Amino acid sequence: MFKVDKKQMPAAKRLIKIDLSSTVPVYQQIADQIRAMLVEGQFKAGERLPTVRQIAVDLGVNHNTVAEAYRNLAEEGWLSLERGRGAVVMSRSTPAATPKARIAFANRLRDLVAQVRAAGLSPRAIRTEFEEVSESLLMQKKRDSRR
Amino acid sequence: MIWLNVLHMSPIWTLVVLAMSSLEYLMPELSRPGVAFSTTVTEQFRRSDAHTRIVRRYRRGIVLSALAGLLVAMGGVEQIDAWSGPGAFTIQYLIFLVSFAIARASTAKYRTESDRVREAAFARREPPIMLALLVIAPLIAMCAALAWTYANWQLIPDPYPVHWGLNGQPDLWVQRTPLHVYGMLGLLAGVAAVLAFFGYGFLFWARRPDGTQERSWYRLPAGWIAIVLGAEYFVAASAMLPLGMDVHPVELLLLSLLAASSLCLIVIGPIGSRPPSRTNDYTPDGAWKLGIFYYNPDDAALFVEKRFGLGWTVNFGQTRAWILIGLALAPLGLGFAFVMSLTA
Repeated sequence: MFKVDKKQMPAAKRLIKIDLSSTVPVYQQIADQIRAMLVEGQFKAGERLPTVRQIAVDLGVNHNTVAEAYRNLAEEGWLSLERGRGAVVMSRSTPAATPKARIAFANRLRDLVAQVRAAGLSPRAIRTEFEEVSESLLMQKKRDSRR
Repeated sequence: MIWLNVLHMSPIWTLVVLAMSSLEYLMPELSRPGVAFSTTVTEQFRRSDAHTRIVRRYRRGIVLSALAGLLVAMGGVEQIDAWSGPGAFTIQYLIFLVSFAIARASTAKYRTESDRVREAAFARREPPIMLALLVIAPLIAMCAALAWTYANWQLIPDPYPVHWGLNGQPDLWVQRTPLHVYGMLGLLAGVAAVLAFFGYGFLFWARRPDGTQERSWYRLPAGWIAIVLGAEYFVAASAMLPLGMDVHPVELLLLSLLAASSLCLIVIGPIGSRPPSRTNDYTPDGAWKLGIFYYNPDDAALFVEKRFGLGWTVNFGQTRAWILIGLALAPLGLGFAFVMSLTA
């Protein structure tokens, strides 16, 4: 049937997961997950992403919801939205982090920890998650240095 | 006066009534594990005595609908004798609708919230060029037939055959007029265009969401596409018959295609390919009007799986659905006008 480019697919399949009961808007959830994939280098510059319609149909959401997520990523410089070609991944150099960005990150992280603790997650579980994220960051760094 | 005459009955309508009521009877088994009478329920409820009672009552209604339909199809109601076929279909369907509505209302109190978490594979699907070509090939062939007819008008037989019996011999002729010749070709081209639209819709506007079950979900529309393609080729070949072309090899090919399509439906159709672990079809209960019609403008899918568990339905919340219905009705209307002109 459809040809899915197997070369693009890493060992773990790329999935977009949304939670309709979450307080985070659906377009934000989609944008966050695609951004995470882009940061991890799962897509090369120039690669075409699935169409807005394909993702909207598969998730059972409105076309505009996915389009909004793509637009946000385009504004951040991750994607180029070209008529007829769809969403294309752009090569994006990481800007130097400002002290302001670092403080904003720390604040968001603390807010997030408070939120998940309020939801019942134990400090040990939170720590495990942190360790996993940290490990994947180190792996990413190693991969980048090899390139 | 009520009388029964087995010889008088319409065999096609009798078969239609029997096929429909059989499917409706089986419907509770065909639905997803988390759905009962178009309502989201727990799998435990599906195995409960309460559900069994509701199903038993619903099935009594279906048996009644089949009997009433057969009675009408056999000419049991003299007053509607001329319309006994469509009458049988209508009576059967109305009783089914009532039985379904009662079962749905009884199930409503066991309704549960559907899973609010959804996932989809994030991998680009490239358009299948060969399949797209297969979809449009009959349309191209029909355009060529129209051009051939225009260029070789004198070769068209007069009178012109427009209907064939089961033995393959023409049994209805009309005079060779532009209305009759181009009307017939135009009508069949319209039907082929609608089928091509359906084929395209199944390819690009139907849901295949579950990344982990990707392969089996790809198979789901394949059965339907095969059916639509088979029907499309059949329609296209039918249009060639009046032109006096030798279609015996084509007929053979068509029969093989139709047989293959039917096999596809049985082996890899919706029931065979649906992932058993998935209970969520990503459609909210509230969008199912009367439990049958799906209306959800916030769902980009044009085709969604029916909650009956067999087949697909259009999302009436999409403008494209209305275009599709318009396209489907236009050839039907033209066909009716054409048939009326033939009988006149």
